[in-house]
Formats: sequence, C-alpha cells, structure tokens
Amino acid sequence: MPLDDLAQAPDEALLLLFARGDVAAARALTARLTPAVIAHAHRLLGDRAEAEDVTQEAMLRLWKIAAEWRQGEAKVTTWLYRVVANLATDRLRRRRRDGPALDQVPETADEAAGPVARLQARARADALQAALDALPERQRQAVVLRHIEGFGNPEIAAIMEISTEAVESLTARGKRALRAALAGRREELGYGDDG
Amino acid sequence: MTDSDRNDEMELEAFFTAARQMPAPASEALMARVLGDALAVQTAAAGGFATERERPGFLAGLFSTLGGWPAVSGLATAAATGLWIGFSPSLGVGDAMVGALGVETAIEIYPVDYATGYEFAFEEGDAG
Repeated sequence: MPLDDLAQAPDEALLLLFARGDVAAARALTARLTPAVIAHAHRLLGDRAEAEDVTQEAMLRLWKIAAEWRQGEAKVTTWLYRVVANLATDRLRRRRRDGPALDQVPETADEAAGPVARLQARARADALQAALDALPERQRQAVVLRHIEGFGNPEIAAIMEISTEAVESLTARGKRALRAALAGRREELGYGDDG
Repeated sequence: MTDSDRNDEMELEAFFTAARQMPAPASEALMARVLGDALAVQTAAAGGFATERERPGFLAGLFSTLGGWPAVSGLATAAATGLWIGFSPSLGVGDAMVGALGVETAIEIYPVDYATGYEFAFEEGDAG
C-alpha cells in the first residue's frame, strides 16, 4: 500500500495490515501512536522514565494482540488508553508501596525554550502536572482524557469502563481540586500578561 | 455560572492549553524500541502468517493450498483425462472402463467397432 494511503488509513486497518506482516504498517502505527501514548502516560504518571516503560509495554501488548484483533469491536486508541491506564495504576500502586522513585524529579523547562511565552507555557504545564499528580488516579485520568487529550465523555466512559455520569462526576471533582491547587499562582505563572 | 466561575474556568483552560502544547516528546530511542518490538513480533509470528516480503501471490497461494506439485500434477492429469473423454465417442469411455476395471466383457456391451478416443485424437494430430 502506498505511504499516502497508509497515512490516511484508520488505526484498525493498519493493525490488520500489521497482523499480515506489513512492515510499513508497523512503522506507520509506531509513528502515529507512540507520541500520543507517551504524552498520555506521562500525564498520568508525572515521570518520564516510567512513562517510556509504560509506553513500550502498552505498544508491545498491541503488537501481540494484533493477530486476534476483531474489527469493529473497539477503537485501537480506546483499547490502548485503557492499557496505559492499567499499567500506570500498577506503577502508582507500586510507587506508593515502595516510596517515590529516586529519579522522580519535576520536568525541567524543555531545551528548545527560548521565547518567554514558551517558558511560561512550560511553567504552567509543570504546575498543572504537579496538581494532577496530587489528584486521585481516576479523577486524574478523567480530567486528562477530557480536557487535555480532548476525548468526549462516551469515549472516556469506554476507556475507563464506567458510565458517562461517572465520568462527569470525576471530571467535575477533579477540576474543582485543580482549581484549589492552582489558586494563588496567577502572578507567579504570568496570568497578568494574558489580559 | 458566575463571573468568578467563568474566570476560574478560563484560567484552568489556560493550564490545559499549556499542557497540550508541552506533551512529553517521544524520543528517538523510544520510537526505535517500540518499532523493534513490532518487527520482532512480526518475525516471531511469521510461522503463523508470512511477512510482507514473503507474502505469496495468488497463484503461489493457490499452489500451496492445493498441496504443492504432487497435487497439481494429479490435477493436470485429471484435467487432461477429462478433456480426452470429452472429445472421445462413447466407445472410448467403454474402453477406458475396460482398462480401468480390467473387464474384457465390457467390449460386449459396446460391440460397434468405432475408433477409440486415442486413435481419434491421433488421427486429428492432437495426440502426443
């Protein structure tokens, strides 16, 4: 299949090609899904190294299940985000049991930062991540899926295997807690410049 | 929703926007590890399904499905035999039955001395 067609193909079609041994489909799925998965895993875990491990493990599970994937039953992303959430939960439980990892330090401003706006965005993103890390896991997952990843409530319900009403309740409580955690940081985070 | 709620909502949205702009990037090393896993799974599964390079074409797949050369040779023989029977007059069938069953009396069933199918084909220049 030409590369242009692969870029347009839905995840499910690419997974079918992958299961038939198509190397180009393996490359296309890796390029398409890995960045989204690492970003989501990092938002749930707040730790880069652990997020990378979870990403690799979640993608490996996807590769292994490809041959048995039944078209039309679930979206690949729904399945993948559910696996990421389960793996992240396991890690967070282990972390609570064993204590925080030694390498768990806040992310520093990214290397390409130069303009003030970028530094400001970095500071806000870090502040939000710290506040997210303090939320109960299910609230954090619901808020991240709804307000950062941009999923609709029905899809979040499918990912989290709960009702849409429960999703709404989790996101409402999560946002309330975030507001409280981030209150008073307006000046520090440059909100005076936003107008 | 009060003005205060609206301000809170906008402020929170600014945090979410910043988070969307600053995703944890997928390093080249991670991408390589993920792709490496993908190719390893494909290679391991190649016993169950062929890799792209090895994927057979339609005729090769059909050939394999039918059982390879022995089966295809048998099919070719059967097809040629069927063609020969189709061109042969009814006595040819009788002769073929005699040959197949080893029953001499078959001739008594078809007493008319027509040329056999093989002779017919030979005279037409199609045999051999």
